[in-house]
Amino acid sequence: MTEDKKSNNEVIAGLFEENADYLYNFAITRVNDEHLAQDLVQETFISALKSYDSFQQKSKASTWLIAILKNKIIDHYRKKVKEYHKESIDELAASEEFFDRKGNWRKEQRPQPWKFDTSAGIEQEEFYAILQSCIKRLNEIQQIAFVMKHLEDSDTSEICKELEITASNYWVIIHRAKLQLRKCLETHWINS
Amino acid sequence: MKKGMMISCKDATELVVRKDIEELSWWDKMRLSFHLAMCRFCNLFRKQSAVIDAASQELDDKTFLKMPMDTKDRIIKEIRK
Repeated sequence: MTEDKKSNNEVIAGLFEENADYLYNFAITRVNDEHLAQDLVQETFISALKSYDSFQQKSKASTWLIAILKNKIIDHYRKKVKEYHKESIDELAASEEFFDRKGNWRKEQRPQPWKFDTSAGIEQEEFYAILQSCIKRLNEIQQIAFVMKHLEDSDTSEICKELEITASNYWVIIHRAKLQLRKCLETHWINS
Repeated sequence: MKKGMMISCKDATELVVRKDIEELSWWDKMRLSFHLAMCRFCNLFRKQSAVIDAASQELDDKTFLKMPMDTKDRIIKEIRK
């Protein structure tokens, strides 16, 4: 071996420079908080530094880093779930924001046709920015359930287990999240 | 949810959301189709819900957020310590 072995710190610093934005973007779409996303990426690289010797380079470095980051995100979700009051799910279920007592749409909540052509695919960067900000307005447990469902494609039983909720609570959370997102997008994108 | 064929918009929208995630029972499918055939608001909800799902799935591929430079500098120093 004639090749100088770079110190682990330098290798990780190099990986950081290559992957920081990718990991940051990955984190922020899942936790919706800039500072938290920055902290999670930092912790990811600190963990990577500690475990670099056991990383056998069997996988791509970016895959390895994302796996570490994913664990940190899941830990964060678990912490949030512990702090979360179960009564807030009942409040969600009892809310009469969208429907009247008979379960019909309230007049001001009725969906309106969206003007842009969805069949052409949604390319507009702005749409995604608004979607992101609408997700951010959901309560934390809704955000986590929604992200696990749509970004991680986790199945229902897995999400219920992770969030310590029943299946019927899950439907309340996801149903309500969808109603809120739809309304928020209609207000901020379609009519902007 | 009520037992009969006629369901409310609240129930119909919940079935729409469930349908995107899991297979509905034969009976729920029937009464959802029945409701959607009559209710243009729930029909709009169904279409728009599909748009939201498709967009959500690719949210991280469609956003290109960059970590602020000062944060990068701070983390790099931390790594090199």
